[in-house]
Amino acid sequence: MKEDARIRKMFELLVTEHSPMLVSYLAGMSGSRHEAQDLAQDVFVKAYRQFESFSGDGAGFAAWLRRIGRNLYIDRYRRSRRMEVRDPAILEGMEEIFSAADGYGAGDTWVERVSTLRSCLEQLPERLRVVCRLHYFEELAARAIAARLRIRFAAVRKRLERARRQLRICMERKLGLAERGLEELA
Amino acid sequence: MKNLRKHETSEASLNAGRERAVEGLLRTDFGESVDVDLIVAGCRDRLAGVSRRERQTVSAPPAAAVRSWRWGITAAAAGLLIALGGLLIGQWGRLTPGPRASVAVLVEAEGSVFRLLGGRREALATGARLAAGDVIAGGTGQSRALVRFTHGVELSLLSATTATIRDSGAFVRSGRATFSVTPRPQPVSDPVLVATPHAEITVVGTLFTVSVAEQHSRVELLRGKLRVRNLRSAEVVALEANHAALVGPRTIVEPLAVAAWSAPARPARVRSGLLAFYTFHEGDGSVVHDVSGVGRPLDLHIDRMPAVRWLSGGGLSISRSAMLLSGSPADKITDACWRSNELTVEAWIVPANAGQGMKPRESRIVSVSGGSLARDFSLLQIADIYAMRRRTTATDGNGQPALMTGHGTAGPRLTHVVYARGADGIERFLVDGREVGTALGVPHGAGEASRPSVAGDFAAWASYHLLLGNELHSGRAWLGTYHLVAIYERALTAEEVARNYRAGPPGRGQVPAEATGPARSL
Repeated sequence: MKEDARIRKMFELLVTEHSPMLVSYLAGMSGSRHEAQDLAQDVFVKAYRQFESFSGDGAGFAAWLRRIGRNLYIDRYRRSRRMEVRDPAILEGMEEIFSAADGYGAGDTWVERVSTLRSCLEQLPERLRVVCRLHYFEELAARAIAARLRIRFAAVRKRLERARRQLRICMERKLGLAERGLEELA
Repeated sequence: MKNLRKHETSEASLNAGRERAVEGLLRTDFGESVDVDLIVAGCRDRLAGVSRRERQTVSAPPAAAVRSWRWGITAAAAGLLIALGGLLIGQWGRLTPGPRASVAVLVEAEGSVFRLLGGRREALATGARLAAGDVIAGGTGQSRALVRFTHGVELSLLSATTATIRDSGAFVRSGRATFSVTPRPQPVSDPVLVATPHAEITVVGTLFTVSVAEQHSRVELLRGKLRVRNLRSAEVVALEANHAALVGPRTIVEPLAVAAWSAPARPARVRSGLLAFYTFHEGDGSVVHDVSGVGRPLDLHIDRMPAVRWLSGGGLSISRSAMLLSGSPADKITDACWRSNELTVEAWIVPANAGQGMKPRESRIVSVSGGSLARDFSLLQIADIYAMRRRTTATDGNGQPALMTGHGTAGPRLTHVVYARGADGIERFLVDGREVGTALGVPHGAGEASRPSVAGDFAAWASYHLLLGNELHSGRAWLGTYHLVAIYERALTAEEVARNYRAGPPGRGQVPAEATGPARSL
């Protein structure tokens, strides 16, 4: 019983360490932080139950969690319309960013390590950054942003699209993925 | 050329994936806004359910898995612990108990339903959220509780039933109880488990009932398959449809008498694509709760209490002009439908009469709108017909021309009304489980059912509130009784609508007729 309690504690430490990464990954899939937090709990419980199937080191553990998360998400939303994330190329693109982020930067925790990517957001032009903050941090829908900023709905969508593209390019550069992309094209 | 296009598609998808990853990082503010305490507490609760099940299992195969887990987790955590050093020690303080994550919602409660807390009993009302480890019990009188899990499983507990909620099923604890579960197909790796003091039942997508007596448990299977394990002898039997297993000192399998199913359970309602769900079981107060369990609840606030009356057994009757208005814009509906370009609006209602809503003051039953001239959609009653206005890029801002049923469809009787629109623009109305004829802009005349299509998509939808019973700032009152309102982000199929019809209005028993057969022409 004492041993069980100790294992539980260690498991909780792993949950604490990997939650920010896993929720970020699942939020990318689901489009909702709240939904991602709920799903993350299922992922950790499943990982606990299936740990015998994990064969890897500490770095592989994060990728293993993401794999479980991806499968759970697909299971949960199998019948909904949000299944474009089942496209292998989309999943690969997501995994590229997150696996590069796993080994990126300096810091003790994942949050500390990826915080340097925040500079990409700060480099965005003001009008794109404002829309980004309202949509992703304050969780306002595009229509609500259009109403608040008194701009057209289509303009909000366009700005979000541009912001995502510029952020991707900036992060690809920081994470060392841009070169790989160029090599692939060559 | 073909290869080049394929490469471009793949590159575009790859970039789309990378941008999704970027979005994920933004949504959590690069991990900063993740509520780690909540997740740790939720995992702790869910694992507590697992532990109880493992302890209740006499011959416990999980032991090997636990050993493997111990070994593996030690290996994985060792490196991590060294790397994190003092930081992890600091994290111990974060492991204090947080709010427990709910895994299920009580969607229907008839009679007395309680949550047992130590020696106390806490009365539960519809909409109560349940966490893994919660013990719920039906009263000794006539009672019934319908519990819906976040993963889609539904449990129906009758009088004198006591069950412990788990994240992946339930444990029927004691006494004589009847219990049914209608799950969606479950992943093979993570099946729903139902346990009793005598048996552990692995659910493989099915419908069954469990009765627990002092010395044995009886499992009756209507359809699908079950694996039943005798916890005393460890004997496992695979149960086929229309068979029962009596699990006691030994397991006996016998054919099931048809009479045993003389009162079959109501089918579970369709949940896939659900966005908002109201069952009007509050009984009092001025708030109607969204019990969909999807996203942030979009609760409705009644503006004029003297004009409404709560019905015992469920339902909200509106006898004079009143409006039920959501506390915030219905963005979870508009955003989801904007993405899918599909919509289903479903209602169990009793119109007060067949004369209300004469033009130009059509009565609003369910709307997402910003006034009498601007809307995303409105389900209307116009005298004795039902109509739907939904805005697309091919209609005006008021959703005109409306889709209308024929005369005689709407009247003062309990009615199941469903409007569904697919991404292909095909629209249909189904009344009492059957498709009815429709026309654009005018009531459908006599003759064959028609299914007109309206071009365009929902790209022009705006952020409006959800309203029931009236229009914002104008007199478009609808009088009658609401028993259920549901909104989906997709077009339900005719079979799914028929299933919801057979499930009936909450708390009103089974509907009398099967919803099958040819379309009815009006």
